[in-house]
Amino acid sequence: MEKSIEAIWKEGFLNEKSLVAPKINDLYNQKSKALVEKMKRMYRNNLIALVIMAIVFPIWYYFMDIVWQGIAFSILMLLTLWYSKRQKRGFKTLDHGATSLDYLKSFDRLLKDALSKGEKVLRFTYPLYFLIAMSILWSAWNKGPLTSKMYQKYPDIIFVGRVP
Amino acid sequence: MRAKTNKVSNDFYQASIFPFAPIIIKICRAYTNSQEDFEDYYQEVCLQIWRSKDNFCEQCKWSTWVYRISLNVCLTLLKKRKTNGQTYFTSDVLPDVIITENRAFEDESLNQLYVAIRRLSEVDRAVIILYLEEKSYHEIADILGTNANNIGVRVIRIKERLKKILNGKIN
Repeated sequence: MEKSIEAIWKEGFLNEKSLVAPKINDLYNQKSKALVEKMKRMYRNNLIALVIMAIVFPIWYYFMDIVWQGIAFSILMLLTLWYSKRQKRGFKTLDHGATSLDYLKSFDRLLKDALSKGEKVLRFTYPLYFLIAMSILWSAWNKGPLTSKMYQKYPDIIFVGRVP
Repeated sequence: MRAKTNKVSNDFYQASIFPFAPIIIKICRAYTNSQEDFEDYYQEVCLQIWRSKDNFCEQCKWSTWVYRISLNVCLTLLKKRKTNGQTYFTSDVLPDVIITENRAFEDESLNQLYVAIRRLSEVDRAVIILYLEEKSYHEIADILGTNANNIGVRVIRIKERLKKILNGKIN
């Protein structure tokens, strides 16, 4: 008589040696290395993107006649770049460890640390980016062409100060 | 201080993950075709259990939590591999060479059963493993986030399909 799948399962796992948890020390080392490499690559790409933006934006803003905002934006980008480069050093201190537990703890510490530091930096940079964006809007509004274009297109529109 | 943290983490590892190692192994085996993948999945499950320990709320049992994380991790990794275009043998295309080389267990019938289980859909695999682990329909439903009736119907269907695969009626 054929055995039921329940019986195969039950009998199969009686004294089953393969249910011993696999040794994962070396594999964790390999995995941690792969993870760190991936994060390093991500950081490097971010840094390159920051450098490009720090160069391109002032030039672009120069042609838009908002040089000061461009310079402010560029400085902010360069500061973020400097900070990110410092953060990148943390990967070197990541403890691959002799056991999986060491790796887990080390990785967890790194993530928590990066998140808390990133949060603090964003508290300063986001308001500054917002101010720069507002300043760009304000200067675009004050330059005149926008209001004159609106006058041409909608001659009946009433302006209170410079606000339609 | 660090020694204290080490002790706490080690205690957690020993007390909360290792007792569930057999079921984690059984689940990971159902979603992998090679020893390398299996070990990779196993450690990823352990990592996620450890990382999510702070999110555990007393609304469910710790064992339910472990099952849930194990299945979620396996399904996520499987999905990732599919989207990354890595070699993955679906239930429809499972080459014989992988099947014959994949002798993870000493018991030949169990190996055959695992080969059959791997030919099921991802969710069906989860259902049947929990069923074979003698979890009630309610527990399975709780782990998978569905209702018990649905599980009951599904289990009958899966068992029929498994029998057909094992008897060679489905290639």
